Amino acid sequence: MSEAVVEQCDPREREAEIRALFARNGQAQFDAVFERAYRPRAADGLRSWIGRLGDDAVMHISVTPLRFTGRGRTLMGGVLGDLMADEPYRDFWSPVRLLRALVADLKRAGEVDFLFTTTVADAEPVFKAGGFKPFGTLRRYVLPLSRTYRAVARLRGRVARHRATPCQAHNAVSGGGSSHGTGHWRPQSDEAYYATRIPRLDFADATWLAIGRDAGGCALVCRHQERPELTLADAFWNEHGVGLGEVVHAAGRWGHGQRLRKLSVTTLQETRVAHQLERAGFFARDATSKLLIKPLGANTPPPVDDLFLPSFALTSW
Amino acid sequence: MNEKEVLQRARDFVIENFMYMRKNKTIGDDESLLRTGVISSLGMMEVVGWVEEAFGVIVDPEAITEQNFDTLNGIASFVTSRVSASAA
Repeated sequence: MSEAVVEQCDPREREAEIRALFARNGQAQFDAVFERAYRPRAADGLRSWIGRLGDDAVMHISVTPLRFTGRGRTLMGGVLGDLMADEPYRDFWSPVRLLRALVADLKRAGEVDFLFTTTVADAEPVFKAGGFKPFGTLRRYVLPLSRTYRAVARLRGRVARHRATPCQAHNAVSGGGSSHGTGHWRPQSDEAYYATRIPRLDFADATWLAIGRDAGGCALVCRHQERPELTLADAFWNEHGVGLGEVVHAAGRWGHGQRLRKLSVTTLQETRVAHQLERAGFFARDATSKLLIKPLGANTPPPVDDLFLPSFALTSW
Repeated sequence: MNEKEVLQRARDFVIENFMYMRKNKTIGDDESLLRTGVISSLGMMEVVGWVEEAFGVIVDPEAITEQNFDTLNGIASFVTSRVSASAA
């Protein structure tokens, strides 16, 4: 097997080779991901690393910059995505070389404070050999939307009742942007960012909900394509006003009005957010994947318990 | 502990943990553990964990290279150099 040459690139400049790699490996849906996420996000710094053999890309991985804010600080995270290799290059050493080249390039550039990625069992050793360490576990939390269950859960969790009203994305993001930052870290996002995430495989569309007086909280909810389920893709709240409990219950009430049966959110189980969800009546369900992290510079990554990281931020598929 | 002894222990570990279902298969000391299909990438991390535990060596991620871990001889050479460096 010939050794591939690893290089960093703007994915738009290697579009044909990258798309062909995914198509050869049975991932023709990547074309839609490329159009929706790669093309616009490349202008904001998304970069790919490819293993090149002649004119072909035989390996690929990408990093999407994602700014995190919390406790008066800002850090730049990098979300790893779309690790793919042709069969002869799935030999552990080749992906490890690709990953190490990526880490070395980003360390040299000094713009990203930490990298993180979800992983599956088969790929985990590659990331560990690249210096990634376990950071947390993503778990799915579910709130049944029956009227009785929600009423009991709200009383038990001391959650005030609010109405959710559909609103425009820019109102929600700007309103929410001013209300967050009260004690937790979160990815910073804007309307353009959300547009790179929807529609996708499991969500056809999404609705922004303004919650409480003066839209003190808001939520981005997506209706599942196949199940009568609403997924919370993002939320903004204010711990001194409309809290997380109020936001999710108002979203749940809206979902019940849409004849949906569950509200789900997938987030890190080690966080205060996860604890608050359980207190508001959510059931902890299946763990979906591990989150691994690799600090790149002197800045310490956000502490896991302070983080609100919806799984929506971790993939464009 | 010399390189020959480490090599024997590495061979025993690999046979016992990864080749117990394949009695007819053999592995040469310079053959690739991954490319011959003796171990998978998950198995590679088991080997790394075993080296750390059995020889008291801390393996930095940067040290997990093809040269150090892809063959029995590579493992033996890596372990011996690390053990003698920590003893010096």
